[in-house]
Amino acid sequence: MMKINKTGYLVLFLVLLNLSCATSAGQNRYKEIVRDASAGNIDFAFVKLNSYLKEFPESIHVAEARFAVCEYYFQIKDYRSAIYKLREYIIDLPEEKTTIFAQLLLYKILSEYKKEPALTEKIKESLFSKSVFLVFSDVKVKYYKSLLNNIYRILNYVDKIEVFRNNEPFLKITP
Amino acid sequence: MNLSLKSRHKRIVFALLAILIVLYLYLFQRGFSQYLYQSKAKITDYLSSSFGYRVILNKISFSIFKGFRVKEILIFYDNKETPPIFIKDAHITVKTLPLFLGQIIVDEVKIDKALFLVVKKKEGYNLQIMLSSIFKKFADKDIKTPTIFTNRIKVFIGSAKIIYLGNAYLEKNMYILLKNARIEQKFDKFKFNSDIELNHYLSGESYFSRFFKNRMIHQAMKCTVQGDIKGENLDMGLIVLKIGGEQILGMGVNKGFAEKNPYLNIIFIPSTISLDNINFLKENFNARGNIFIALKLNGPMDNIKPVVSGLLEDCNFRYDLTNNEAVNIKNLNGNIECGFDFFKFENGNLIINGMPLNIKLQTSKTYEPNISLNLSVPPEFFSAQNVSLRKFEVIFNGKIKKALLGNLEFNVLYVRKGRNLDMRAFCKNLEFNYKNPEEKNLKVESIELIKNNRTKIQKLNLSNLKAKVNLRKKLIELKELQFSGYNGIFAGEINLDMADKVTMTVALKAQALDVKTLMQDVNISDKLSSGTMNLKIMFNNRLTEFLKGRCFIKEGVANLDAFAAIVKLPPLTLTRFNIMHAYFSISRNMIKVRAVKLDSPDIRFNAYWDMNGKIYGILNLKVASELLNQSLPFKKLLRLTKIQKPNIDFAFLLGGVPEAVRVMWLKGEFKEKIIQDLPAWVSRSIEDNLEKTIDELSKDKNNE
Repeated sequence: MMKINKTGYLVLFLVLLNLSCATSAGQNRYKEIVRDASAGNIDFAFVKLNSYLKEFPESIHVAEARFAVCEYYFQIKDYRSAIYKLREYIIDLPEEKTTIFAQLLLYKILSEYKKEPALTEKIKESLFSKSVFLVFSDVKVKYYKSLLNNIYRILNYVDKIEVFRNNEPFLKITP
Repeated sequence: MNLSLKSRHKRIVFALLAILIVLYLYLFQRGFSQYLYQSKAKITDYLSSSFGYRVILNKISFSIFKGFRVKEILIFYDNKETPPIFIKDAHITVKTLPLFLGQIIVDEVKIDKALFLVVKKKEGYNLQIMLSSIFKKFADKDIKTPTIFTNRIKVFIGSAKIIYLGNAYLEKNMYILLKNARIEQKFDKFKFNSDIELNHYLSGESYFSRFFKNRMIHQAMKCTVQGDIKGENLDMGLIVLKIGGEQILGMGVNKGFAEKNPYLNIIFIPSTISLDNINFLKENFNARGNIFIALKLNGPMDNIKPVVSGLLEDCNFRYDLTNNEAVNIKNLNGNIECGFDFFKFENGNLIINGMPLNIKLQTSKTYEPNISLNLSVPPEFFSAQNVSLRKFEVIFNGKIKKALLGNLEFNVLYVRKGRNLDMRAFCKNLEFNYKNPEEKNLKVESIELIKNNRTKIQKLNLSNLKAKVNLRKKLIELKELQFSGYNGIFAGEINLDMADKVTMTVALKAQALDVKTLMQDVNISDKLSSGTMNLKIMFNNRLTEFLKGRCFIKEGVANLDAFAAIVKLPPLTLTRFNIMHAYFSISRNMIKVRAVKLDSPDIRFNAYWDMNGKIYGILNLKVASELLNQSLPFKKLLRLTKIQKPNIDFAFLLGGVPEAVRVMWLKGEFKEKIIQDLPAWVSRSIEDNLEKTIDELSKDKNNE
């Protein structure tokens, strides 16, 4: 059995302490961003989100954080940056639960503001690429509350998709 | 004695003397002519033995001033065939002084009219063999009388027709007319100058003759040759061909010109010729434009291989059809190369009746020619017309005999929603009896149709196509069309009417097709594993619903594993059914499928749906309770709902897109009872499980 002397224990303790501090520092930073967003200080939240993503690129909150960045650009109507960030998001994180919301946001911008029919069509194909089986209800609902406190609801019908943002009609897509 | 002319007496003496001289000459001429006439047999014998060929003269006379006059000379090659040389009237001027010394020296020969018949013999052409033989005979005997090749002589021909009596049908109506020809030889210098008319009557047996309004190909030109005799060779330092206002210069050598079959090697300097000057192109095809042409003649005289290579530059042609329409070929460009038995046209492009085409054509042999043709439409044309095609190519490789024989291939690249769709049709061993005026039979040994969209290959393999083709004014009909495939028989007809707008109609019935092999090839669905299919198709491109049809399958096997997985049943890989049936129609934006019906002992369904990118339809399903009881969840549900019927009915609304159908279970007795009796969390659990199953099925499908 390997023997560990006192110095070894001390080193191991310090390493673990350091890691724990780093993790807790990341959590604290993220909580701070959440607090700012909840308080309506979305500009502060945005600045902090960018530095958070640079410092903690492997964080478990990356998907939510990056989506919030995209949302921010959308809210301030910087559609060019929003499109760039959303496309990056969809390519980098195709399997995340939030990806469908990124696709919807991109679809909204492209169909209503930027008019890129080819890409819009591609996103639409992706949104309808999965079979849906409605057994006991007429609609299947997906819900998401973003970091910037926006509430999204996706209603999947047999013949269409309806999206509400903060209880306001946001999108209606038919195949 | 002083003989002064002033003296009357003396003048009378001179006049009498002159009269006596003239009289003497006249009497000499008359006497000599008489002698010649009486010695005609001797002369012909002498000439025959001198030439080595039988010679017959009709009349021969002599004039002091004009020399000999011979009317109607025949020279025989042998006694078996028509004499190849016939001279109607010839004046042979001889030198007068040597005549009084008993020598006949020919100075000039003037031939009014002559006919030469050229026949190909084993050793070469008959006329050349005769010339060679006579030349050698004279040279061997060292006869003082000069021959045409040894010293100096002039031959003038008013008109001479040279007719080729070849064996091949394309050549038998061909002749060359020399007019005002002058051949002059002075020691080793040689000159030839003549108007030449090439005449070739295209036989009706020739395939190409049908395109000619005037089957007589006639081309006039002036030809000048200047050369030197160097030993056994005639070195032609300058050859000038004048066609219209343009001229082509050339040079060459006639090696062993006095041999039976001399070798010719002539090359012309590449020159530009206006098609206006080529009569047969102008007359038959209203040709305009230029051709930059290089001509070579090479080979032994009896087998000269002419090779023409050139570049067509913006040439235009118009071919008038019988129905007051025309085929307009504009801006024809490309490289041509043709020889006696081949024709090549490469890198060609043209506009034919407004349609731009790229062309590559190669034929070999003039009789029953082999043909290789590649026609394609430039992609830019489709872009300009906003047509979703990127490629349209027709390739034919075969030959023209009494029928058109060969392989025909169509290649089409269709782009839809950014995706490439390759389509290919390959007809192997096609035989089209185009010559038959009544019924033109079409036969194809096999037809392969392939559609490839990169991810999926669909094909149809058909064989033994037979049809009767009627070609009428603006109408092409394929009657009694029949072909086989997939163990079944297809029968019907196809009409292409171009009277107003192009209308294509197809009516086709197929009987007893093997579903298994058909589905493997068509690759529409892998869910049908066997059965016998009857199919009926009606196509009319002018109708909104351009394709309508009916499909009927009996005694089949379907794979319903997907349904089994959703319902949690054991696999239904081999579900036997008695009947499966559907009507379908396709319009530009919509595919309608009606009365889709499947009858099997345990499962029955009927459905209809519309597809236009998205899908909308209804599916009614009747499943045997016995089958459903094999599924544990459904067994529980059936027990819970206390439904005891032999079959349970389901109705589903179909939506979404064809690639990922969305299904909603519509209200019914079974569903109502489940909702009433089942706690909400169980319903949610069922839905969640179902969603997982569908996800797994989708993943499996994608992995495939």
